[in-house]
This record gives sequence, C-alpha cells and structure tokens, in this order.
Amino acid sequence: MIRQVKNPILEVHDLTVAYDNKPALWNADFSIPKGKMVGIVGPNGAGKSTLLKSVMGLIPNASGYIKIFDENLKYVRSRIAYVPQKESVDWDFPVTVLDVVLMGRYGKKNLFKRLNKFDREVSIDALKKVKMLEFGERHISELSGGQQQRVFIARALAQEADLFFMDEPFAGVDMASEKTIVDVLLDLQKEGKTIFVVHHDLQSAMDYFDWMILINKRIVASGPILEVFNSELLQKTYGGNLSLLDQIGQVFKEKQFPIRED
Amino acid sequence: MNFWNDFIYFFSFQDTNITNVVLGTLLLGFTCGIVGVLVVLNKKTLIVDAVSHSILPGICIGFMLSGVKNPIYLISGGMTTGALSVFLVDWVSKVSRIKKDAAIATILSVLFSLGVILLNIIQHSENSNQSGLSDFLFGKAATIIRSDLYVFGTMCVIVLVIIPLFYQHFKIALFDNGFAKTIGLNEKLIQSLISGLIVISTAIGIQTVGIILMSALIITPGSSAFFWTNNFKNSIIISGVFASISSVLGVFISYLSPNMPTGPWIIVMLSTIAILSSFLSKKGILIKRIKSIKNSRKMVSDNVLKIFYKLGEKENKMNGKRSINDIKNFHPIATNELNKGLRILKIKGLILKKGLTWSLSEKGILEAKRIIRIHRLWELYMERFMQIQSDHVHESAESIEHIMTPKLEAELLKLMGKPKKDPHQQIIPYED
Repeated sequence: MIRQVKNPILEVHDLTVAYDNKPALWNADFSIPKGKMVGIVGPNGAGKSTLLKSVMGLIPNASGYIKIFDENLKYVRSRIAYVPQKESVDWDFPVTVLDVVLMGRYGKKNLFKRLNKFDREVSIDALKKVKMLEFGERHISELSGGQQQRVFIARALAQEADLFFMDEPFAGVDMASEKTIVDVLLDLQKEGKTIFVVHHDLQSAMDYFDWMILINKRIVASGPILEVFNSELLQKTYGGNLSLLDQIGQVFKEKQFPIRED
Repeated sequence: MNFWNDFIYFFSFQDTNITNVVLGTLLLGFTCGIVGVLVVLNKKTLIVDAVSHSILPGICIGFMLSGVKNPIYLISGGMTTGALSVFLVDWVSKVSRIKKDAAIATILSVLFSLGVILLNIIQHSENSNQSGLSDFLFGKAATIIRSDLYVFGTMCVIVLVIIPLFYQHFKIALFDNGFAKTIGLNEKLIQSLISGLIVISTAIGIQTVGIILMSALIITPGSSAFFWTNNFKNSIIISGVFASISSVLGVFISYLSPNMPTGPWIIVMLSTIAILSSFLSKKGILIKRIKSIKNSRKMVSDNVLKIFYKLGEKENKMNGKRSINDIKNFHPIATNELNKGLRILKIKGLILKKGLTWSLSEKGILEAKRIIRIHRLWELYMERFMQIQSDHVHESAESIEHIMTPKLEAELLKLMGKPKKDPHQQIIPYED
C-alpha cells in the first residue's frame, strides 16, 4: 500500500541502495506530502537509516533518483537538516554544547565567514527550545544520552530548515527528553515543516506520527497512519520471510555484479 | 655557575647559530603541535608514523639526484615519498582486504627499509657531502642552518595559514562527519588537507627529532592539550605551545652536552608535560585524589557534628558542653576519627573548645540542623516517592546528607512541604 501524492516534498523513485554491492534497500518508490510528521518504522536491519542516509547523499545510490522540493539535493541543502544517530560522533571532542549548536548555523552560511550576533541568538533560542540553555557552556561529554540527543536536535533547529531528517532521535533517551523532543517536533510541524523520524517503537508510533513508512528491505507501505497501521501490513513488515532476497543480495556482492544493467 | 653561564649564553641569542636553531625548533614545534590536535581528533595517529618513516627514501633520492645537502631538494624528496605513503595506505586498504592498520605497518616498513638501503649506498659512495645524513634517524637540531630556516619558515607559514582559514571546516568535519557532508562540506578536501599538513610538518620535523620519534612530536602535545581545555581553538594553541616549549628545552639540553641527541630530549620533555597534565589538570589524577580526600573529611566532620546535634536533641540543650567520653558513650566512634572530626570542625568554627569540653557554636548549630534536616527529609522522600520501606531508607540518606546542594535542598523542601517528623518519628529541624 503505497500512497503516491501530488506536489510531494520528497519523491523517491525506484531507489536501490547497496553496501559493497549488496542491496540493503530494494526499489523504494514513494512520495510524501508537505507538513507531515513521518515515521519510518521497521525491524532491525530493515534499511531505515540507509534510506535516510541515501536521501541525504551520505551513501551513493545503486539506482533511482531522489527529489526534494522537486530539486536535486545539492540545490536545496540549506533547507534540510539532518540529525544522525548520536553514537556516530565522539562525545569527547573538545567543544561545548553551544559550540555544537552554533555549527548548525553553517548550514546556511559560508564556512569561511564568522558567526555574528544573530547566529548566536538563533542558537541560544534553539537551546532554550530543547530546555538545554543552562548547559550551554558545558562540555558535551558531561551530558546524559537524552541531553546529547537534545543538543543534536538544537543544532538542527539552528539550521532553520524546512525539512528535517532524524535518525532514531528517541533511542536511548529518558522520558523527559523524549517528551521535550516530541514537543519540539510538534511545534515544527505547526510551523509547516516536514519531519522524518526513524523510529522503532510501534506503541508510541501511533501517537507521534500522522504519516508512516513501513520498511523492510523494501517499502512495504507509505501513507496516512490510519491507513497503514494495521495488522496485515505490520505482519508483512515484521513477519515476512525474505531469505531469498538476502541470498540474491549476497550473490550480487560475491560477483560484484552491477545492480542495474545500464 | 657553569649552568647559568650556559643558560644565559643560550637564551640571550648572542650566537647566530643558536638563534637559528632556537627559532627553527620553536617554529617547528609549534607547527607540529597544532597539526597534532587535528591528527588526534581525526584518529589518524598511526599514519604519522607511516609518513615519517617513508620520508627517508625521499631524502636519500633528493640527495642522490642533487648531490648536495640542500634542504629544498631533501625536503621535497621527503615530502614526495611521505605523500606517496598516505596515498598507498588509502589505496591498499581500499582495493584489498588488508585493513588500514595493517596497510600502514606494511608500507611503513617497506619504504623505511628502502630508505635505509639508499642511505647505506650513499654512505659508501665517494660523495663527501653525505656526512650527517644519518642524523635524520634520531635528529640533530644543531644541524639547522640559515637556509634550513627559510624552508622551515615557509612550510610553517603554509600550515599557519591553512589551519585558521579552514578552522570551521576542520571543527565541523572532525566532530561530526555525517553532518558536515549534509551541509555540503567536501570531505575529501578536508582529509587531503589534513594529510598534507601531516606530510609538511613531518618533513620539516625529522631533521630535529628524527624519523623514529617524529610521531611523538605530533601526537603527544595534542593528546596532552585535551586535559586542559574543552575548547577546540584553545586545544590547538595549547598543543602548539607545549610542543614549542619542549622543542626549545630539548635543544638547550643537547647544547649543554653536545653528545646528547636532540630528538629524544624533546620527546622526554613532551612526555613530562603529558604526565604532568594527566596529574595536575582539572581532569587529572591529582584533582580526583584531592576530591576524594575532601569527601572523606566532609563525611567525618559531618558525622561528628550530627553526634553533637543528637546529644543536644536528647538533652534538649544544643550548646551543651561535651567531653570526649560523653560523645563516645553516646555514640560509638573510633578515637582517631573523632579527633579528626573535632579538629576539622574547630577550624571551620562550627564547634568551640573550652578546657577538655567541646560545644556547638551558633554557626555549628545551624549547620548541624541543616544536615539532620536533609537526612530526615530524604528518608521521608524515599518513603513517599520511591515506595521504599522505612527501615531501608537510612543508609542512602547517610550519604545524601553530605552532598545535597542548596538548590536541590530548596527543591526538596518545596516538594515535601514542611513535614514535622521523619519515618522514624524523629523531629525534622528547620532554621526558624
């Protein structure tokens, strides 16, 4: 069940993504309307993060194309904010909380330029929104997991983007932090922004999202949550046996055979 | 005194040779130090070893082609093979199953052996200019002459321009590579810049510290700097200063006794700074030790103060005079601990001594009340909010009472209201 939409904010067309020539995501083809809170849900190793990284141009596509705001990614980077998994960075790096948030300002700014007062104000405001202002001068290693995640969210806010991609923002996060982050995301949605969230907790998914992408090596479903969140589609996502798909992927890797003929 | 004469002569720069050497090593140390921060944060420390060892064949080839020990030929030869090693490591780990660390070890030894062979050939040749070429192995700062200084200077200027210019690039890419790419930062450019900086600083460094110890000159100051600051810019500056101080001191020592090689002494100085940093800095071992001593002192004195309070509570006379025996009969406590506690409390002005008796001062009564209040409030908190049986709350309150901050105490009070009694039906004392 894939609901294609008119005037999508994100259009993914026949996207296949491979690691070392082994496809991790097959033939993804879907489109998402503006202003939604989109949950990307599926089991471990389903290709959720892969999809996000591919959309952000962090890993190459084996086939297909992606359009954001009806454009190629490189023309619209400044309108997009990406929040990686918090395990992807070294939290002993010598920067303070505010330093990290200020980095977000360079999303719209030439890296050779200095940040000004306005940039600082936006960043401090972002810290305020995630309730981390009092930690601004702290070193990032002094934070709990939930606080680290909130710093990442603040950096994304400082980017003043229209479209947000967040990789597991609720993983390893305490309840207070989760609540804060959800509130921030709802505020963003009210401002008309579109938010993609990789998520693995089915229970809260129903409450948080209004659009859902079910994924397991391929897109099982994409549509309004009430149409997608049913036992049949969930069964397909979590239950189906895809061992043949996995085996053929392995063959691609062993032979290093081109995934597309052209 | 001989040492002072040498010291004054050395640091007064009357001798142009010494001036050259000191200026050269100062510049060099600073350059290597600041590059070191990038290398350590980029987790590229092993590649420095590969580069420094691979520079030897390049120097030999440079010498063989030119026949003279001109620094321009030697350094460009060295930089070429140094850069080649970086390229080879990347290429080998990409196209083969050999992992990066194994590739580094392999290429390092291959190119270094090639260098040693070439060095041997040169040493057995007729060319009389070759003497001193083997100093590159362990380094000899005294061989720095004016023409070296120009080459060093140019290289250092290149590094000192690139790092501030690409400061934000380095900071963002080294902290969060994924994020950096999504804002359009060119990762390949950054990685090539860092490799280039490594090659440059290594090539100019080995004349002073030598091939074998070169990586320490880059990595040690960077690692030591992180003990002192949480700021990226400051860690770069601190690392540069550490490395330049060590370099000049190393040169000075080898000036005092000319048989001493410069490189090892520079590294000894750097390691001393590293060890001192790990002891003395805010994140260091010494501060941890001091903290633990402070904690134990606070625990002992708080506990003695509590005995005074409870004695006062029992007799309804807070400022009553107590002898050592009164205290010990009321509450068993080791004599040395009691004496220690009394001593600390007296210094803080919380108790007064008169003859052989002790009593709480005004300030002491307030402080004792505060500790008892926190203890009893916390017991109540555990019972009410954490559903813990009242006979299990005492132990945890014993430690909480020592560490409660005024801010948390205010919050606790607000949360609990002003209850009169704790779970054991003991009265909770308030200030008024």
